[in-house]
Amino acid sequence: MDNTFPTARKSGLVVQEMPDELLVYDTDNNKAHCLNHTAAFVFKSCDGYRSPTDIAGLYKAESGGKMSEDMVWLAIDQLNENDLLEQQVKSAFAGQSRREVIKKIGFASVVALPVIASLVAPKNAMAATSCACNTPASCGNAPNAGCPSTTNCNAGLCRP
Amino acid sequence: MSNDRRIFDKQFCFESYGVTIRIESNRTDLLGVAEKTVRKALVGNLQPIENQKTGHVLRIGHSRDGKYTFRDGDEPEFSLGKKLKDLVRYLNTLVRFKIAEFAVDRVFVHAGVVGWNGKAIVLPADSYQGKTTLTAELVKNGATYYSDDFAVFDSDGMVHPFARPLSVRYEHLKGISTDVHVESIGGTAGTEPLPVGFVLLTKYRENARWKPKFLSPGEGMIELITQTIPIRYAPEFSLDVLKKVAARARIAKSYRNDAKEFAKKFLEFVDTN
Repeated sequence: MDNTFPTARKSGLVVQEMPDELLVYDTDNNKAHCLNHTAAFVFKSCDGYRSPTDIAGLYKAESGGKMSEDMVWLAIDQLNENDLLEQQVKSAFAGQSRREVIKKIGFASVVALPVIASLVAPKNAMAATSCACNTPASCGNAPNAGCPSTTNCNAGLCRP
Repeated sequence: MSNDRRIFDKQFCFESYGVTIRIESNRTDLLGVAEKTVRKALVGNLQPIENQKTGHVLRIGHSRDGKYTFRDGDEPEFSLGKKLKDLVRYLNTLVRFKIAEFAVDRVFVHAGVVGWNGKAIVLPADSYQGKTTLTAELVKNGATYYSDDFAVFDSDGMVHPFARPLSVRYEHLKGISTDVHVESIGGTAGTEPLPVGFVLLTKYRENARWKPKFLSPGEGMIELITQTIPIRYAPEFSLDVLKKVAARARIAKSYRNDAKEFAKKFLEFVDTN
């Protein structure tokens, strides 16, 4: 394994395959990510042995479609940002803005740009869904109050 | 040395959705209130069990200074003040969410749910986003009431009723919720599990235009995850079930205007999409 080649994380991740997407739930930070087809392909191809060039070649071999190396790197950058790789990988786009990169890639490939949409699961089930209080003064009988308790409210958590 | 001489020897044990809970109290009348509260909170979906080792222990007390106290398992005890209604409200919420988080073979999603033409419409949302209001208006327009609180999914992704009285907040009551029975608004409660036909992610915004964006199954799943109570406790099972839901249902996201105006048009939209 070449330490410079990206490796997708396995530990701490719960992965659900969908027809054209991949749903990845990170149990370390309780974030959920939806990877579109392109991002999902790159993620699954990051085994530590493949370079971005190899991954682009693999895509062509498996689907017949064309994925540029820049496209692969764009996906790797997003996987990096979302902590989905075993080790951080240095970006190939240092000095370039995301817009510049996308503009460059957009004209070179018919494959959809890699997209990773993410959301965080609520910290505390009860607090996130039942307490609208930001301060103790908002508790109990205040308009839009959510805390069942009028005496124990702590910055949005329905508990002391 | 503690001055607390209360003896918590009054107990009520029950099982609900595979979760076992023992409620202890130092007063018989208080235990009676607790039992009534949990039965109402769980819409009667509980079975008393013999006093035994349970997965969760809740201790409800009344102290000599007139305050109600609460303790959840090994966490520190705290005071809920002198008003019994505060204890009742707290216990109601705590028990619902405890069951929702630890239920066996069920995934609880914080959502309103109605039945429409043999399928469920699920409305996941945080509190105070108009979930109950919209659920009530859909029922008034002919949908069958399933819940204004939780979508309870089984392992096949079918949604089961959790038809508690609607918890409606009225402005003139300063936002305090009031129980409204579905029959009083001309509706009926569903009894059979339904497959999900439509998931609507929405919130009220004044003068909002209905501009639904249909989400892919994956995008819909991550939206559902934010309202999935057991996601941290049982991520694999939760995602497995949500995947089944997302694979079958249409999932759309949009702001909406007033629920009274919106409800009928939305049901017509569901029929044609």
